[in-house]
Amino acid sequence: MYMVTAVWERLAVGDDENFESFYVAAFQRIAGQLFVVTGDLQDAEDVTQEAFARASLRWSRVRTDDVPEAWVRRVALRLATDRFRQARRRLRSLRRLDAEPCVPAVSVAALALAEELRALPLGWRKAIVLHHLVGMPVEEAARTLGVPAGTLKTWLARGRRALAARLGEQQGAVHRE
Amino acid sequence: VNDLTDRLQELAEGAARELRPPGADLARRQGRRRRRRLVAGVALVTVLAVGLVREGRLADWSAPAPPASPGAEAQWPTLRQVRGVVEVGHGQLAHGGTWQLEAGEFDRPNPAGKRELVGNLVVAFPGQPEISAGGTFEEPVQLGVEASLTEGPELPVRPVYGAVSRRTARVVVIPKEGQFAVLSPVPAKLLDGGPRRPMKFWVVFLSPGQTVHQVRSYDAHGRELCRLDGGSTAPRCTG
Repeated sequence: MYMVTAVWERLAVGDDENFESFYVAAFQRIAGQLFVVTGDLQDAEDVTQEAFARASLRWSRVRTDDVPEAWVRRVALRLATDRFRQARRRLRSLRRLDAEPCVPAVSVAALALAEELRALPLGWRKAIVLHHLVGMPVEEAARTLGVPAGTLKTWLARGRRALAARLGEQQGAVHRE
Repeated sequence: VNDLTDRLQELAEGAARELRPPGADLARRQGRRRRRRLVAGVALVTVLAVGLVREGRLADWSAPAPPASPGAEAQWPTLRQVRGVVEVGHGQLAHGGTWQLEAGEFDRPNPAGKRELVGNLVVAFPGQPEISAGGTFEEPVQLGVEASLTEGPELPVRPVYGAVSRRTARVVVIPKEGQFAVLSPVPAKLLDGGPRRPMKFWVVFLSPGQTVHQVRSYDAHGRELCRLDGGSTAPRCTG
């Protein structure tokens, strides 16, 4: 699956390696993946746009990368981490615990998954997105996140287990009702 | 969660459908703004540093202040601009880090009438904000060093960079740990300054806890050209 993604990503850059065509081809896909990490549409859009802004500065180098989309995604993930930390600090100081995230119109099951993902640690979420959604092999996802492959495997296993438990409990609760 | 990938896909595609991309033009403008901020920051720090050095050198603190003449207006120094910024090198680091060295030059000579070059090393690690260190090098460059990141925030590496003359073929950095433990020399990576700048840059990444004891430059025949002690800005050069 990753090979398919990588080939598609190369094609998405376009023959003329033009920044604009790359932006048009890749923005929504990357922002959609980032939404799964951040749990908020606005945050996903902001960090993706900022990552593209940084890519535009280094476009001559980024476009010669094997997969420019991977470069932008990696930067966006890093920005999402920074934003997550800032938001946590803000929440602590302002006690704005009732803030509602902005979510897309998708099925109830997908929304339930989004809600449960938000309850997981950020590192687990990023691991799940890179491995299960983007389709990266464990080693490459680990390199992207700057952690050992063993750590990434642990995050994936714990993340899947937590999701299974939480979603299973929910289904059980629905059945009991 | 057997269908985890499908459900993640649905979620990501649902989000992608609702997103309205702000546009590539805006991304480019944001990028340029970011670069301008970066360059302006380097220039401002440099001007302040130069100003402080000059004050320190020239001010006679024991002398009484001269009387202000009624008609005289304060002369504010005009900020010099950095121009011609280009990337001279980039690379990967351990722990998923990356580095990029950019170089430019001030649009006007310094107060001593000499052209000054500006370097800016940007280092980034996953999950951490980018960190940069700006340095200035007066022409003609013999051996200059910028080592502020050896004492900066916690990083998995301690970047040091500088500039040398074009005839330099090799640069080594001798690190030290603590006050007295001098370690083996570490070879630096040499980077060409480009046709507009008759000099080279060099960069080396020390381990955490290490600082610069000394930097030495050599020509292609292995003859030592200059050496510069850590904390000093005046190299001792031969020839």
